[in-house]
Amino acid sequence: MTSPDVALRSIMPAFEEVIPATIATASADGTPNITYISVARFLDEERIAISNQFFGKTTSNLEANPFLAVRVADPQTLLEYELDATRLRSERTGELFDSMRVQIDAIADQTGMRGVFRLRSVEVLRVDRCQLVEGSVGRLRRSTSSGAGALDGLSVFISRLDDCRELGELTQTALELLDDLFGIGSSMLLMADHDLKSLFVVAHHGYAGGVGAEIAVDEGVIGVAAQRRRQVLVSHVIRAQNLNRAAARSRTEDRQEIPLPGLAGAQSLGGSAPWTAS
Amino acid sequence: MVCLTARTGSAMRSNLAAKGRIAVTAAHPVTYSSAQVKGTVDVVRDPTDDELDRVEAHRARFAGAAAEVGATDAECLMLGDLVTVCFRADEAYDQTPGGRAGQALR
Repeated sequence: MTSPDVALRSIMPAFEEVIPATIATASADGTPNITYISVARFLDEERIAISNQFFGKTTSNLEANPFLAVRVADPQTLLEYELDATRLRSERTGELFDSMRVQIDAIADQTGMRGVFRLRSVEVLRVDRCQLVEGSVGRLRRSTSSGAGALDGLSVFISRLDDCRELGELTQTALELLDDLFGIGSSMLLMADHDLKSLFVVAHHGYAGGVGAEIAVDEGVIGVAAQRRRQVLVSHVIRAQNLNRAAARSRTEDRQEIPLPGLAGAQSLGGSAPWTAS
Repeated sequence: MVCLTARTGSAMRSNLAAKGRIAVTAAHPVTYSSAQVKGTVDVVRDPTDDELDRVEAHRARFAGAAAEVGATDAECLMLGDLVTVCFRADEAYDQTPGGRAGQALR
């Protein structure tokens, strides 16, 4: 039984980097290799891009055999999708590379891993087929949230801002309305100083601290976004931080033990660690 | 030996039935410590009751760990038809993100 093809655009949340995606490749002799992807980005209805920070075998496999499979999961429904794809090219410069690099650099800087957790290349893939994973169960307790009312909210937002008479009132009202109307509970507005070396908080909502707090341009997620003048989307802060910490541990001599069973007659089922297998 | 979710009649079941090469990767949802094992498929069969009990216990541990990083209902990712796969492992690699990713484990 074959599942129907799924439009990539209909599974956009699966590319929000909340649940790590995996990529499976095969060497020339057919030996499979599977690994996790930091960033898998939707490009258009036929293409996605994936980040390459630590690929070794994946890269050599793709050189020998451009056909691969990527598995992604929608964090809202927890349904999984398998993408059969073909590698089109590898990019190390350009707009796409820069936009993905700033994403990775910003998180790396926030966790003290600047220069280590860095983007080597972006692999551009053509998706030949996208299917719901056969047997994928999805979330048992479905979310009841919906995007209904967004346009009404926007109308109220604009109307209320129109009533503001001074800058301070305008900025504070805007951030409070983002919470009241759209459920964005934490927000801040920053402005750069005249020589573009620092950013200052001019309004905030939902954060501790005060107006006037300073962030150096090029420091942390906010500073790197400002320095490169690009958007940075961090969908899952804890995941991003843990990923970088794993890389940090990997650099140290005090290497964390990986509890693998011995290869001879190994039985790994039901091990003590809560790992997930693919 | 691993227990995997793969629906009867699925492409994965067909691939397993061919008894070719297999790669299995596992990652801790909190620490991202990861490893990959490669080998050749030996036996593919339905899980025993004891194996199903162990899968259930593992699923609960996984959901608990995933909840630590804010992922709710993560056990749903591990539901579905189960199949037990015994394979002869002959390669193992560290796959934790970082400079050692890809190094052979002994």
